[in-house]
Amino acid sequence: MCLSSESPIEIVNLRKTFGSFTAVDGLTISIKKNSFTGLLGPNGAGKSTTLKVLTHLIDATSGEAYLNGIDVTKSPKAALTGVGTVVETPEFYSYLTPRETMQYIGEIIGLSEESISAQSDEILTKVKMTEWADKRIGTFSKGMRQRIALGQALLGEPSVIILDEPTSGLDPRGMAEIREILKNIRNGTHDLTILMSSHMLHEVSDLCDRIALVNHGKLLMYDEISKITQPTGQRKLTVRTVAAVDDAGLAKIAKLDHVISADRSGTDIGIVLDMAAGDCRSQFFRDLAAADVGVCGLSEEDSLEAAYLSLIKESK
Amino acid sequence: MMDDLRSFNRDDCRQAGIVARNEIRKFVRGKKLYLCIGIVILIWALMTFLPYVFGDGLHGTAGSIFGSYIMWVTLICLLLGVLFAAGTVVSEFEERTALVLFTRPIKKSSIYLGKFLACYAIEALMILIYYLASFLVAVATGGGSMDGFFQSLMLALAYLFAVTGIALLFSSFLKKASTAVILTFVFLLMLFPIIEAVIILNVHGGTWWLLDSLSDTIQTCIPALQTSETGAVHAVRDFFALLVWGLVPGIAGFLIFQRREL
Repeated sequence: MCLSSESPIEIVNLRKTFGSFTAVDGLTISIKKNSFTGLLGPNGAGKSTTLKVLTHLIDATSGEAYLNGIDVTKSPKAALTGVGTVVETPEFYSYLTPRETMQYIGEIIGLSEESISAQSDEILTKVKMTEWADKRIGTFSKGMRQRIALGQALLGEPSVIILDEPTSGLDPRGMAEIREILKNIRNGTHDLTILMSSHMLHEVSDLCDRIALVNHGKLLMYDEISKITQPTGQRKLTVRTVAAVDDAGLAKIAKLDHVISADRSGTDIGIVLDMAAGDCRSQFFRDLAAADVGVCGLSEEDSLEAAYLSLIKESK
Repeated sequence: MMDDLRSFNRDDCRQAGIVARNEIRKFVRGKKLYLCIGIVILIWALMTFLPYVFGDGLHGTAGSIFGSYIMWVTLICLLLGVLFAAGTVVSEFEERTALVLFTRPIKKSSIYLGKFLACYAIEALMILIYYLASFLVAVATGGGSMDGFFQSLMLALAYLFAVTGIALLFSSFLKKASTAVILTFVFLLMLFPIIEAVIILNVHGGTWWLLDSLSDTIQTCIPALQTSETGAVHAVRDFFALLVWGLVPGIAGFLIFQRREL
């Protein structure tokens, strides 16, 4: 059964084996409509295999994978209609220009000439490739190719976009550009559900509102990012001071509102905040400044990383 | 797998046409096409002008002069089929363009058919031009009748179809386009003739269906090239046999391509 109206992407008991190795082991998940879901998991967890089944690059051993209510394992052409994809770092036909690539893909998916022309201009502007629209792709950098990859995925105003590590292999500038484009896509007006696999937790926490965590081909958790990152209602901060604080200074910090504990390690003070009643960080920062302990730096523990490592460890 | 073929509809044909058009654009913008044109022109020019360099020029009937050009047609077909078709499918995997094309709402049968059509169309056009150019020289320099032109042309196109089918089969399972080109060439030019020679030596009679035997009909159907050793010419039978030679590996190639994963 498929709940396509609420779950544009639905995977039911999906299994994929390569010889004796099971890459995806009975994975079941319903991706919420209009969500931007990050598919996380360690190497070999089955993320790419799942996305390759969804995009019909490989066949499933068993199970079902629905896109907009159509099983891609049975009717791939119908299922992939209205779906944009960027799998790994695809290459493009080097003899085509970005505009001709849009034309080719647009014709394949059945768009009219007028529609292709109008959408190509809009998309090339969105992915910042207008300047190179009529130059052959063969000479482009990896970052430029990836922007075209994102652009072609937007043709036909898809309701579902599947991205497999879209920033993989790019330099920091290229990554930032792709992330910016993705944010703009996410903030667009039309209904859009995005499923993106990534190894980069900060990227996922920056872009996604939900996370699906997989390991050994099984789903460990699928929930809103805020519920995963703050399950205990606590937040860990590290405050760096100009000089190591004395016992009195440490006690002063420990007594501040919402502080559960404060531990000193050289010039660093590890602080655990109680966030059960809400986000109290701004008040804590004001109180900390008032305490006058010589703060010169502050960092927050990547709570997604902590949650990720904890869940992966538990699943072993 | 076969459902893909059974449910092939009008939209699938439209998409095959788009793939074919893009493939032809690839050939036109690449070096391969110009290399092939150069080779075909060179063969034609050597056949036309060398007799004037080393002798008194082209002599004989139109049929015999035309026949001297047709002697090279099987080699040209082989060259064209290998260069265009052997790399066409495998390049999608090797160059990772499949990650864009295959994830679109398009059947693999449309992709395969489009590629087949594109390769065959461009190869056939070059053979047609070679035939016409040879025909014109033969008619202009020789006298007498020019029988067998269309029969030979149709057989050459059928042979081209067979070579394209075999090349696509290699292209469907190999990992590199260069390997596919070399292996197809070696297979068709060396291994296949060896196998056929062994079969002919050991099977007495009934070897007309072998690819090399069938390709001989491209020449022997021209009356001017028939000798006392030439047996009865079965142009129609051989034409259809050559089509089977193209269809069987072509379909086998499709089945492999259909199952191939990235």
